[in-house]
Amino acid sequence: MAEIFVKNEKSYKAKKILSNVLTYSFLGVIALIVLVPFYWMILTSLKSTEMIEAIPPILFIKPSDWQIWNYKALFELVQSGPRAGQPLFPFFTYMKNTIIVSIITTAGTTITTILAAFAFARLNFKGRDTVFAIIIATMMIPGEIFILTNFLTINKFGWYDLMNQTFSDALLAMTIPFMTSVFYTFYLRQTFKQIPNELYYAAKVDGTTDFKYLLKIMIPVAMPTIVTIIILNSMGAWSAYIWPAMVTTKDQYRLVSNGLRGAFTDSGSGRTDYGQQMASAALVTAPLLVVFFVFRKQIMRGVSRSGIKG
Amino acid sequence: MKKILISVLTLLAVFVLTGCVKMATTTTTEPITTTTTGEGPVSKIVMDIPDEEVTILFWHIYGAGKTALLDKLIDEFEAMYPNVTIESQSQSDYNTLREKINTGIGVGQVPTMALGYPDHFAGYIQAGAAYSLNNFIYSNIQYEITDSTSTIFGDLVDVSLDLEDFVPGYLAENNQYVGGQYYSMPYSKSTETMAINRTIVKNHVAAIRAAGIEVSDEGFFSHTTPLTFSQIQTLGTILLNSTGTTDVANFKCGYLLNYDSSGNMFINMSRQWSAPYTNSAGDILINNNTTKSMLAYINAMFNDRTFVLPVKFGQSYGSTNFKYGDICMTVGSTAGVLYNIPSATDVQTNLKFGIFDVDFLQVPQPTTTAGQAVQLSAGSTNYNFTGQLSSVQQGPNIGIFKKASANEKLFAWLFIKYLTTAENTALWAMDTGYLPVRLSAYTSDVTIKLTPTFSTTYVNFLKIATDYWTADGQVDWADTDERWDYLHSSMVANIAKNQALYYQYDPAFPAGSSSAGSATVRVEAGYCLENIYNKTKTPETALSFFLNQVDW
Repeated sequence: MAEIFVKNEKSYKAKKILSNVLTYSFLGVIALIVLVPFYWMILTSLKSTEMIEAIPPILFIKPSDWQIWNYKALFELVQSGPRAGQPLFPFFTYMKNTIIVSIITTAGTTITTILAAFAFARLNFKGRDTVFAIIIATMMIPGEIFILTNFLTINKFGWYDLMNQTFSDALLAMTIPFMTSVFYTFYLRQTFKQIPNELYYAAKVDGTTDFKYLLKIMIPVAMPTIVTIIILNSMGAWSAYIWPAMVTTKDQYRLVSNGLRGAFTDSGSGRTDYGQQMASAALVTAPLLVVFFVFRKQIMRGVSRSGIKG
Repeated sequence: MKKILISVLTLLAVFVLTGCVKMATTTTTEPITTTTTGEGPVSKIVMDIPDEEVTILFWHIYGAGKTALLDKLIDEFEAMYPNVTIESQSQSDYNTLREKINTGIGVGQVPTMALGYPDHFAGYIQAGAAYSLNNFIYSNIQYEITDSTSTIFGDLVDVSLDLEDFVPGYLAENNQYVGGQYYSMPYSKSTETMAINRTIVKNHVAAIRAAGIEVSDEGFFSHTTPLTFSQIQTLGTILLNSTGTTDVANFKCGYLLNYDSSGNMFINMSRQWSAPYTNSAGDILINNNTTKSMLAYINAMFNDRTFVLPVKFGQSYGSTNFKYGDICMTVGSTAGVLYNIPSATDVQTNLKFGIFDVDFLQVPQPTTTAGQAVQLSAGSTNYNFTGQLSSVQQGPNIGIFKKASANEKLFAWLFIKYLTTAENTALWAMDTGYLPVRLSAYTSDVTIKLTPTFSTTYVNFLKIATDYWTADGQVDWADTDERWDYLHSSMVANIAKNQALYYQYDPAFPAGSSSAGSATVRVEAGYCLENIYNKTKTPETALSFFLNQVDW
């Protein structure tokens, strides 16, 4: 009996080890696939043009061969012209703009989403479900379709005046059209609907207002979902490209994504200085990595809850 | 069911309302010039230059490190016209620049002037937004500079422009539009030249001469007469290894001639073969026997490694494999010259011939005299056609938008004139690697400081290569002589000058109801050759596929 038990235990252990080996091998391969682009970015940022062009590709560089000047060159000052005295790649200006736009867009989206989700989940008014169905139906329209109408709108508001656009105009143009999200409204409404009606009625009996109930009960209960929305929206705002390029008239109003795209292409030959481009991409990625490590629990939870990637 | 119906109706309503959004129409302002169209002397009308404060918005794509000379020219222009401010703004890349203008046209938000490729301007013209520069070119108005703070106070400034001084191919490109009017002027132009591994050639001089091709003792071919395709095929029998690998000991390479841009290769060879391609009306003309014959010839040349494309090496350009000694010759943009030169900064073990000598030649032609009957042979097949001389011209032009006020347009025009004076276009060419747009720039004696210790005129800049060629490469320049640094740029500038008279442009048109725009056609032309090279399609099926992609 004891022998059978020992045999079974051994078999179980062997299976477990095999299963672990397979699992971790698979995870290792996937991790490698995810990490290779990052490694390649750092590696390229440390290569000269000739090293980048080399065939077969150089997969590893000794520290003594690192071309640190790719990074140094980014902070070299422009000698003349409207941007004289500023760095070649205005990293801090772009980062500042990106952070401001991300914060404003995310704050705006979160507020409108919470209010709309509350209205659709909790308040009873005539035509609620019909209005909600109409709003959900707009998700069928691709975002690109809205570019022209949004552009006409911001132009009518005077935020896209080629001659006189100010930074505030540019900020309004970049953020206002993206302060609502149908998907997040739907997502939060579903969470709100899971909160038992009894809580609402009890609060009503205690004489609380709808707004107070939202603030004191619903938001705290749905906080994980709201954090998810904040994270996903920030990630979306951070990587926005087409709209910011479209509605800003001056280089100094643009976001880091726009800067990375255009600053390193030689206008004559059309070739890109990948070394410098990757160096700046590495610089742009660094703060994101810090944010990720600080908030990794929330981000992982958020991504797994929503089932989508930003 | 009710909800579904409501959703469908809502969607319909959104689409219909989006379609109903009224686009603002562009306004046309009165031209302030009177024009003459006749030949011969015309009497000039002298007026005071407008003194109203004017701001000109100039959109381009030059990055921060590349605008020093443009900024200098802007400063000089503003000193000449103190009431004018030029706001020079980079829109990061050509696609963004074009999209912003196209979107802005609908709401009347366009810059005063902008850089753009011909197909961009074709689109602006179709939208009614581009301004005809004929209003200025043929004007008989002279303006007197009355502002005492101006650097040209008291001068008379002609509005009109002497077109005869411009490179003819550039002019043809800029007045190809409806009515033959100029909607843009050439600005940053480049062409293609052919880099050749002279060290390899030098080791086969006797064999090349025996085959009837002129070559100097040091391996220089003619820089004024292009090599013909049949000569290229002959060189293939001498310089190509029997396998697709490099034979270092016998100075032979695996592939003979690379074309960096397969799109340019298709288009330029169509012109050389007198094969219809497209026209400015947007007609796609590639379905013809000459094009089919040309593709069959190119396929034969791909098969015997006479021609090669960068896709062979998984690259976008052939320059790396040229430096590595895999390819003997490569055709590429004048703006990318220095990428073809092997140097001490390359990974030395990759350079099969070490740091070899590079010379530049005109791009190969079917014939040395335009309009001649040409017969090319590959194997037992002959290809007969009427040969033409053609080389690619590329690079952006500069134009003005209708939306601007009359005075904004006037000063934008004067600014274009200033940017393209013989001196300034020569300066621009030496500073950026682009080519001068005026013929007289080639004799300009204005001096530019290329480094803190080295200044030269364009004439002397060109002389660097001609001196080198005249001495058959045996110059006694010191190692520290700065002419070495500009030798290859000077070679390319000379070659570009020598083929300037047969630059041909690619007809520009926006996408229409029955065909794609010229930019898309060019891309598909490139894919057509790549499909043939990769053997994924035969020349016939590649052409059918190409036609299917662009003709609706």
